Amino acid sequence: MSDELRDEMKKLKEQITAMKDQLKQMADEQRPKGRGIYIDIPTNVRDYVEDAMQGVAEGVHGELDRSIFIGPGGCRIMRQGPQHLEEPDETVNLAKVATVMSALGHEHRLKILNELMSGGRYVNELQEKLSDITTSTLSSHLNVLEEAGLVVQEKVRGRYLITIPGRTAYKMARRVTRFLDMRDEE
Amino acid sequence: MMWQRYELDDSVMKTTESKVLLKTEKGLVEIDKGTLAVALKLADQSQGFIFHGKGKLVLDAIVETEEGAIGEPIERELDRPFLVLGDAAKLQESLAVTEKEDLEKTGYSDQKQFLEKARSLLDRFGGRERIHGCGCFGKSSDSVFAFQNEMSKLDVLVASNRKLVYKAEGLIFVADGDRTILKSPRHMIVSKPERCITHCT
Repeated sequence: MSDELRDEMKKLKEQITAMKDQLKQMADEQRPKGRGIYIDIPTNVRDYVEDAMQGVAEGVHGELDRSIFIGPGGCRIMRQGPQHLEEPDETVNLAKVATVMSALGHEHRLKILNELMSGGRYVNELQEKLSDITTSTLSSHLNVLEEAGLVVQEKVRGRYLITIPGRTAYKMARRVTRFLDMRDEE
Repeated sequence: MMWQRYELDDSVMKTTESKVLLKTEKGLVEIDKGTLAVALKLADQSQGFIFHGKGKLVLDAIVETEEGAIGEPIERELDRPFLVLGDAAKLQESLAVTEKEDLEKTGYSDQKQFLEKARSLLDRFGGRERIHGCGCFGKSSDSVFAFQNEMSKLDVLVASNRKLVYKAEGLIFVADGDRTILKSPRHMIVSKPERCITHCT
């Protein structure tokens, strides 16, 4: 939480304390001086106000938590108001999502995508760059990536190209990794 | 410029070896040995052929953009008659007189039957008047292909050096080196180095 927010919370607590004191003072002034039965209404009011202010404080705190997005790029304050939770999207083809995620789920395939990020490559060029992967394994990985729609092979020249979904998926994987790195550092 | 009429030759030939009719960075057209061929003549000069046999068309209708590649390769078996206009001279040496059995392999009982099919294709390509010749295919690298698709419409491929235009049902692909245009039911992409306009549905 930033210093500015801390100050805001501190001020809010001070205001609550001041209001409590004011209410206590008012109650003391209105308390009957003589004998008899009396109901300490101001005490109830004080509790009520205290509860209400506590609710407001918690609400403000929660809202601040929801409105601040802390990511690898720093802290971002959402100004467009509270975000609604997304409704489950029935149109998402989960089997396809699984295919894509599965295609990403191998270090060798991520290395291939990383290599293709800088442009189309022939198999022999990939083989040269990724010498730790055998020719048959490389071919098998390329098939998996192609079936998932993350790469496409030119049929005339034979080069492999990363597709728009491939590039997006690779960037997403990289972003998730950055998040995890940040969390580990914390 | 003098417009003239394309005519079919009288004799049906066959290819004696498999032959690559087109090869560019983006496209490939090849025919197998034994493919039937009849010459298209313009003022008694062979200007192309109508083929029927086995072959394939490969076209990389893929556009490379900074955001990734869009499109997909097209692979088609060429098992219907198709037309080629271009440099015919280089093909002549790979042709031989056809035998009855060659015709039968492709589903024809005689030459006449094949010639009728070929004429029908030529009429559809050029219109009844078939007045298309203007000597524009002067360079050996220029060629025009007309393939019949499953809906009996013509898909046209025009190639000239690195330039290539393909128009098929629901697809237009234009490539000129690094500059490409792809129009398909799902995409509309105009791309050149460092600039790209994409619309995907």
